[in-house]
Amino acid sequence: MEKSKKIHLGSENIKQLYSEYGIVMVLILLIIVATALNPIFISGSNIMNVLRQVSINGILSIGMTFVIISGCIDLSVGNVLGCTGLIVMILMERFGMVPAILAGLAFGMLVGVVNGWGVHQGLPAFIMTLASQQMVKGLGYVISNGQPFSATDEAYKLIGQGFMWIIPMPVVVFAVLVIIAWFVLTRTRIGRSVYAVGGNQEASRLSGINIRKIRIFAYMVSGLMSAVAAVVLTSRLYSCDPLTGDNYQSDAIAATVIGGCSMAGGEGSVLKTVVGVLIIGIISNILNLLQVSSYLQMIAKGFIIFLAVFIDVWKNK
Amino acid sequence: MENTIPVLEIKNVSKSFPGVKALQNVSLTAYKGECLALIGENGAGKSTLMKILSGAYSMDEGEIYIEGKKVNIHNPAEGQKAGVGVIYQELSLVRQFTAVENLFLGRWETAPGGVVKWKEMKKQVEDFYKSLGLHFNLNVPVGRLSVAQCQLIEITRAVFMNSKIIVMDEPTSSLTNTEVEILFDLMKRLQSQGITIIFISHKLEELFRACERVYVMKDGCNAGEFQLRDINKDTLVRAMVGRELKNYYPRKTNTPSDKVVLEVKDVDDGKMVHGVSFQVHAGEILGFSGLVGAGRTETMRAIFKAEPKAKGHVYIDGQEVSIKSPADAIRHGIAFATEDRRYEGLVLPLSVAHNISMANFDSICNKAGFINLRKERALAEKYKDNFNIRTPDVNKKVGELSGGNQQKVVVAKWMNTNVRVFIFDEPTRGIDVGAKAEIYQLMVDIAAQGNAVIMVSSELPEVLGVSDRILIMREGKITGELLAHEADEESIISFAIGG
Ligand SMILES: Nc1ncnc2c1ncn2[C@@H]1O[C@H](COP(=O)(O)OP(=O)(O)OP(=O)(O)O)[C@@H](O)[C@H]1O
Ligand SMILES: [Mg+2]
Repeated sequence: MEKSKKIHLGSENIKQLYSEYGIVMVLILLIIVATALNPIFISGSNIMNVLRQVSINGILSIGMTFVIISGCIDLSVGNVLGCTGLIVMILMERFGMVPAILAGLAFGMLVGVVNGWGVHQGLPAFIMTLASQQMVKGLGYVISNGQPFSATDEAYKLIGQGFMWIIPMPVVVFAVLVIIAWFVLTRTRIGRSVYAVGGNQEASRLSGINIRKIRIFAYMVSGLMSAVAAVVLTSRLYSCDPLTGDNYQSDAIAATVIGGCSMAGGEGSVLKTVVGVLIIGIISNILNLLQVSSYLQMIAKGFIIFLAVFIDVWKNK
Repeated sequence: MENTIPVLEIKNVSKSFPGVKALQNVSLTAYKGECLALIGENGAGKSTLMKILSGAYSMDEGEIYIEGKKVNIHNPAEGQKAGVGVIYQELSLVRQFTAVENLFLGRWETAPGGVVKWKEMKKQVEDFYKSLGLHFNLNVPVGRLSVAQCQLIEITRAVFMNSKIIVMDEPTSSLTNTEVEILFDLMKRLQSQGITIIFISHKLEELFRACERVYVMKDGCNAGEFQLRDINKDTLVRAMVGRELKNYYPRKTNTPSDKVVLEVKDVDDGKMVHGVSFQVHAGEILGFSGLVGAGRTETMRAIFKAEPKAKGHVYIDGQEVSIKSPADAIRHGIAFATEDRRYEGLVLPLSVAHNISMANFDSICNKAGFINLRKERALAEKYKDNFNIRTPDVNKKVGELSGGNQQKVVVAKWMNTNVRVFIFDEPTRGIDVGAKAEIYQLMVDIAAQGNAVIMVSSELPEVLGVSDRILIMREGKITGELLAHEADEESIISFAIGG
């Protein structure tokens, strides 16, 4: 055995390293930079604050992860959130909190089923979910008449504003959902099938996997996550208007892709998506602490999305 | 032919992937106008070396000289410019484009103003193919042509690129004899024009016909260089696998019985298959022969209901079964290892273990649908050992395995279902001699357990060597039936082309 102990950092190897650990290193780097820029960042209360802020996007991103791993995309999540919020507010007044929440969750799943069905019929995912986004948005305006609605049950506040020990409830909800999603994706046959269908639909079909079921399942999870996010957010705000949630899909897609889900499908992990969610959240938080204007923040966020997708493309070359 | 100018010198090239040393100090010299063979077991590093030459991969160490000049090839475009054309093992045609569009890909001829001269280009291609005796439908996307046709288009593309060196990575793996002849003609013609060909193949007989010199690779290293006229097949095999390989075909321990396991009646897909009926018995290996395009693959797809519109009756162990989808077929014990592993066989971004378990989740799940990862891993390790799948780890992505090892994963996946009828479509495409023998043995073993095996193959020696009975198809119908011991290549061919 002769040995040449040189380590070759060819682009192959860098790609490999990056796809394994890169994103975690970026997160750590970001935390260091943030602390250096403003030591307040690392304080307990600010960290809880960041976590609470990211939990809505985090919940949406869980659903997005399912859809992107299955090889598709869901542009409707932001508006499903808004419309579900209105439905819950309106129904709560008449039928009480629990039925309203259940109806909201059912609505989110229903939109997901329709999306999944449409995509299975052969509509491009981009178009199908763009269409449902518009329809759901319109529906929100119709049922609300364009007016904001307020919640009507004090108990409802608990979900968005309560604490479990010192941890804000939205963070608890997010964490629980992450664990469930991680389990479903890695340890159940339906989760594994989502990867298989995203990686190669034809091979999956010929291996006996029911493609339609998997498509509908992935979108249904996404719809359900949007509805859960709606409940958490409207509980925090204690109200909802038709513009709530508008454009939230872009952050969710960004977080998922930054986390290493391949837009080509078949690759990704919910835990890495969480890292992506944190990265986006921390960047917003730093920019806020530095008092950067929200317009500039928009540019920064757009650039990060570009960067993430760019890296994704480069990595898969 | 002047065999003195080295067109290509590869010196001490090394390349590692995470966990594998794919190449270690490999050298190779090729002369103008020669046909150089490059052989080695699956995973020996042949494709990797050629990908480095073409610029698809970068090397860690080493030098490449073309016509005496040192070159640094960083990407395939630079490789093309340096005169290296590669026909990859895995098809790289744009499936949505026609043959003409593919042949001129990236080099479309335009009139002033940027209008593409489709008519002229199509004319060129038509003339070119006519001179070669090839007939293709030039108007449909290549994705709708057969694998063999795609492969021929792929080969002719490199010729169109005016390359000095043409690398052919297993070009014949899905061609039938007629097409192989066309290819050899083409190669001779290229050589006489001074073009150098590097020819990778697992069909050793071919090398003796087409090439003069051979390089053998083993485990990422040079393992010998021979003049082919000085040696025989056994010497080559020994250099390749490092030991004597006694029998290419297994001893047939299976005995066909009278019991019918699979019977199909009037299978028809409305396009390529017209009223096909046949039976397979317990313990029998039934070979399907015929020319490319005869409808053999389509027949199997129809039985498996991979084609939703296909019609026909399927009986298993005497009972008619209703098969509405591949899932039903699998449930009734039909396994179907398809011919195109990348599009139909494997999920490339998933690991070896995940691919092996995906056709039968029941083998790794409990009733609630929860996966037992330890069980899955053990299962994958078992198949890795049994089939000798070369991978450092069963968690490696299957897309990173060498072609032959990918094929073994496909077989492993289907072995993991409850097989009653195993359909192999071109099972040994791209597999080295040792592994071929293993797969044949496997077929015999499956049959010996009282199951039925169907093998669709374009390689006559393997059809003759492994089958008990042979059906020959032509134009979507069964045109002949022969018992293996009374069949020979001539009799099969005469049924296949129709007398
Ligand atoms: N992109 C990649 N990433 C990681 N490992 C790779 C990659 N490509 C090839 N390898 C590894 O390098 C080794 C050589 O593979 P290569 O494809 O060159 O074999 P080969 O000689 O062409 O085999 P075959 O006859 O099966 O085509 C194998 O162990 C393979 O797993
Ligand atoms: Mg190869």
